[in-house]
Amino acid sequence: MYFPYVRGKQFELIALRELCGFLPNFSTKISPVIEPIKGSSTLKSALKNLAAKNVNFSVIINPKVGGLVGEGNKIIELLKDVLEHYNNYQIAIIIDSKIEEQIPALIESINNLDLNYQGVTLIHNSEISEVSIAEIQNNINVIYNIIYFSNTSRRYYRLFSVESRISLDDYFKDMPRNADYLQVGESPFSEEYSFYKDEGFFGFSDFLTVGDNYSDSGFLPRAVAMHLSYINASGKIMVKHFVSDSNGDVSDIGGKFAEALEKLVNWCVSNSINTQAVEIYKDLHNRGHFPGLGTLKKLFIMNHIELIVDKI
Amino acid sequence: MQVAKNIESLRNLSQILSPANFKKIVKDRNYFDTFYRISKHTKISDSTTNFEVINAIYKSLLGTYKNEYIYKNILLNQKLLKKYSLKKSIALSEFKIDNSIADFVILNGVARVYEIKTELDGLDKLDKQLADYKKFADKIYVVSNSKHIPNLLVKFHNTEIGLIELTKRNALKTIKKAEQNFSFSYETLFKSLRKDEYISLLKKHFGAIPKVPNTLIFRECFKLSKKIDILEFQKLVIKELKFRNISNPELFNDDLVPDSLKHICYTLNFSKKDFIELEDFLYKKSKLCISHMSEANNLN
Repeated sequence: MYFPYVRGKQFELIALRELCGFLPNFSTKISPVIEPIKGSSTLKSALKNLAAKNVNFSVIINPKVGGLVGEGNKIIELLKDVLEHYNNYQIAIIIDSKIEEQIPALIESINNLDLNYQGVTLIHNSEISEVSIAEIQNNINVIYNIIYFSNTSRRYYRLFSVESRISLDDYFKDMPRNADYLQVGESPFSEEYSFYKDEGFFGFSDFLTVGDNYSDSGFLPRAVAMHLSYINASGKIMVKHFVSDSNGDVSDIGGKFAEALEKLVNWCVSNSINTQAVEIYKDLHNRGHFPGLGTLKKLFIMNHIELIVDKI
Repeated sequence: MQVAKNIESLRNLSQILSPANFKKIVKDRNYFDTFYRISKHTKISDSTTNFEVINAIYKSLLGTYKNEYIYKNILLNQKLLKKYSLKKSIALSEFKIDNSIADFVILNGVARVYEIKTELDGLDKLDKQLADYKKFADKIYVVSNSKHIPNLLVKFHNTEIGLIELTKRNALKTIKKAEQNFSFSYETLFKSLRKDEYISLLKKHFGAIPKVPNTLIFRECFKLSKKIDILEFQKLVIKELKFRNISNPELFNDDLVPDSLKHICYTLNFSKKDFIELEDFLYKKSKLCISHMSEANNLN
């Protein structure tokens, strides 16, 4: 099972929403984890679409980034309002170092939630003691334990049962500036999809080709970079970076996009890469159309998810 | 009321007089920073209003800490409002020209760029900045003070660059008039416009714009603009940029806006509602606000 971790930014949610429509087997292979950052209409429509397709998902009620930090009640109200009787989803809690002092309160508030959810997903962003883990597991129905590998020790995951274990890491090494990817060319991503079962995990999670770094603000970039996940000859997921060349200033963003897209389409044609997102890139290339930076992000998220869903 | 006189305190208080801070005050009613700074660096009586506090801080800055805001605000008051008038001119702050950002620009029939060098600034970037401004502006001024003026005068005596001194008494004194510059660049001028602006300019001039997909529109429009004579093109660009006017020039001249805040209100392009919010803030009693804040946050 693949647990893509997405922030509730507009185009990340649209990517999920659109994938629901056209990926076969979507609901049997994927269980998105959503960290809401605002109670937008896109969040509502994405959740409704996932529910309509009977996709399982987890919604974080104590987000650590964005405009809903500390606003768990707003998220719960929104879920109640949007999902009504749908129950194939989990409430997710981010476990960090501060949470240990609040465990009794946490348990109480979870058990008093007036929602039809299946159970709880814990996202272990830092380790807590075995006593705390036992206390949580004895009192609430924990279904998944998502273990953030970079933030926990090598053996921490062993504290959880096999059928609840999900590995999480940030495999996307992001660069300070888009133009820096010109030198990189391509970077290795993860191989979790081929090993997670053998290594005793129920599923695996990643931050797609967006990365864990979160920023509220957007700005006009000097370079346009497109990140395309693909599987190389030895079965590893790689990310190929296609970058514009005229990167001296922030003008002509559409022209920069055309430069990067030209490289991407040529590469996909000569390597016979044919995901749905790549078909959309080809169409944009034919029409010379720049759909906006948000849509680019949507497309590389869709490509990444499609690639993985196809493989598992 | 009293304002602390040491440089550290003035620097701290000067942060109150910034567009970012007034954006917080007017749009979010977030006064915390402001009152925290006031309570730390001023002595006020029960009846002191924020209006008085702001003016007292501004006066102290005018006396001993002339930062960039002071220069910009004086330029706006003296040049835009008194000399060129709001009806026929607009000002742009932090306006990107080629690879530099111009501190203050006034556009009417012509484009005047004012590059500010306070006594706290170095002059190392100046040559690069002026070279960029020449690709755009008719007249270019360096605005500085008695510390830098003698150097600048030697440096620019044989050039078209003008020099203005901000005197001790806060007058703008023209030391050297700027001459008309003609070294415009199509690229710099074109890139100073937003997409809707270059499209509107070319439509007006040629009656139509190239029918191409949006990845090519920038390049094609840029090519087309080069068919216009460069001196005419520069005039058309300025004319187009002048539509970036503030929304409420008529409210702006009102006595409602204290001179000390003109540049802030202009930059933030205040609406009618914002001006009312500002007035509300200015007539609050500072001390009352500070004691409310202290209770709420246990500052004492």
